[in-house]
Amino acid sequence: MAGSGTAQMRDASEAIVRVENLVVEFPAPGGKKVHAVSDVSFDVYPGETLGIVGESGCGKSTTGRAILALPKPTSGKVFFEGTDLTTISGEELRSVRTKLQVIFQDPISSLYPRRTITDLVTEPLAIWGVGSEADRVERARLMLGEVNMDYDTVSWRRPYEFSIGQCQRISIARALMLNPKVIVCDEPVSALDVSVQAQILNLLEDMKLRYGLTLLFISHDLAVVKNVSDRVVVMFLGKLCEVADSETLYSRPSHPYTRALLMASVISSRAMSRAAGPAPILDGEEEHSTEMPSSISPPSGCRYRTRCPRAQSICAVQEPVMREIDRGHFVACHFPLGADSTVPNYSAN
Amino acid sequence: MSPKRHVREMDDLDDRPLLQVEGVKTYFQTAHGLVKSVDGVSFNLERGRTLAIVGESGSGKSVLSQSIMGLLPMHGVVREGRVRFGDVELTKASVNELRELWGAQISMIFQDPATALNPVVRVGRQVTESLRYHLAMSRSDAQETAIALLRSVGLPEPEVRLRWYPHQFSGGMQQRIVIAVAIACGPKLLLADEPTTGLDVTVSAQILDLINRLQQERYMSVILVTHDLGVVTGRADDVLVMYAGKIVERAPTAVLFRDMRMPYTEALLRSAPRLSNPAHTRLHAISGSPPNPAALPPGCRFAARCPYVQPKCIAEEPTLRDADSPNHQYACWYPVGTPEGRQALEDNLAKGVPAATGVI
Repeated sequence: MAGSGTAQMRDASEAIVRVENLVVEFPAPGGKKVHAVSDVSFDVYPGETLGIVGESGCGKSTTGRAILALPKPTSGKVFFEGTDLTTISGEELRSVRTKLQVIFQDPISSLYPRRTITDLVTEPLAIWGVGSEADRVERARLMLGEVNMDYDTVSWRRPYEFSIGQCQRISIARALMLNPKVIVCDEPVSALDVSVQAQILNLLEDMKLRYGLTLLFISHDLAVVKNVSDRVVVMFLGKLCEVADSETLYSRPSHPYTRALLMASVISSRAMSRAAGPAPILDGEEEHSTEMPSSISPPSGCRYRTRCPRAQSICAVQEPVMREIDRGHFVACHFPLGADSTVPNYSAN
Repeated sequence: MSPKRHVREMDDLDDRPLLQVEGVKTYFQTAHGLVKSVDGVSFNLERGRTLAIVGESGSGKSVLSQSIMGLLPMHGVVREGRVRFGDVELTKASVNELRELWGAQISMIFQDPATALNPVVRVGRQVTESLRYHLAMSRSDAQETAIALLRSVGLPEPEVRLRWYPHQFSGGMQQRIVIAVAIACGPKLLLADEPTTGLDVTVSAQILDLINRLQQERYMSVILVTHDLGVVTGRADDVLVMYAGKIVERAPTAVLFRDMRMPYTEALLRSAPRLSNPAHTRLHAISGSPPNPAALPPGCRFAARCPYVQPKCIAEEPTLRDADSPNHQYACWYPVGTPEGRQALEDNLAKGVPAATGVI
């Protein structure tokens, strides 16, 4: 697609989060607008992990934050358990947000540097006046234990005394304090080394199972997203390209952009197999460039067309609409790749 | 107007390695004690070869590259060892001597292109600066060379974009400009410190391919510093794996991936998520974190996190020794893929040693 449409939406009564025609625009100099997210719709079922992938500037983080109304979307609806978060009052939104937590990319700047770990982790409870101080400390002890940190050794320390991986554990403990239902994870492992990344990803999976969480997992790293997600959404310049369960999306990518992203990842992760295979064969379906078009004046029709190896004249005129090409596999493209299209050497990886 | 300077030409027929690093130690004096960031590293780099230095945050890989360049502060740093570049002893060279080498013979690409470029100087001048200084080019020659350089790193419309400022480019384009600045004077050695961290996957593959292409065209030696073993294959001839300031394994790239000996190398490879894994695969995380560089343990520095750990590992530090294949060395008492290693791992699994069973 990079196109619009709602074919990918499932039963509204079952979804815990449902985003309909979400639009987020920011003012730009000269009275222009940055079209950060343009008409995006998707839903998440309880207990599901939805991965959102795309390059920098594709609007994936803005989408995640718009769900929490940070800031409120320009238009569109965001339903959480049937309540439209875009129409409720500030006070109602505040109380709903206890069920919707967020973990950010940079754990160090998301922890206030002058507070102790106890203050940071118990604050959500203190704001809502939950329990006595002793109860709050008890809960902090429990939650820090869950993320493999010993309360007695960390409680009086401050964020700078911890490594970036440990800070991310503390952020996770803090996000769990109010018993949330949904956690938006905005690039939670992008700043971490591979070894620490594995610890945090395993931890998120454990917490998800133990507390029955629903996760929205935003990342530019396809391998990471595949590892945690049940369903994956691919975004490009504020639009959705492809929606499918992760197995299908990665084994039979249908949108040319999904394939380009996969190709790039395969090239950079070939080493991950011990017998590093030969370089993927280039087959003429490479992108024309990897520059992101301007989000102030996005290309007409399909926003991906300037980079797309399959673009035809119709792509400049008519925006593709999301359609189902296989059960549960949706794509917004005029010329999707056939079912035989796989990523070279991918299976050998 | 500064005097015209000319780059001293080294004897290219010289068959000595381009770079010889011998027993380099870099310690920092801090309030917490002596921090041993680099603790005795030696290697040689031949002309036209690419060497990857791989390790986690805090392994000392960036301090090592700064030690080679001579970029560390003069005070509060304890330095030992020798770094020889051609016939120049870099560790003994004065700042003035180093200035003649920096940018001309040795260049560096930094992790964050946004801070490596001067935000208030047009990119054209940032490329021509070293051409004018080192090669004493005229303004118009330098301008033409800069256009050619920017074109060769894949910047569209270089004639126009010479006049742009860094903030007008994307991160990937900024990194291309940094590379153009680095290769402008035709350096013999290019040090790339995490050149693609922070860039998108599509862009990072292109940047690595670009460095590779330039390396082959210009017969440069390249040191690629990274935390990601994934970027290494197909791009480096040899790999050094660093842990807590020391080299723990070194091998030609293909040998390392096929036949690694050091449990840390194995753990690094296994911890990365793979595209071929089904969703919700449990990752093999490395338990714990690296040792405090101000209070290093007496034995093997990886012992506390190692699935193969035995009492000997905690008591006695292993030194680098030769593996079966040439140019392959490792520092381990119970290496991967050997009978001793297998036995050690089985014992640990039977005993339920946390690092072996994957419980963190």
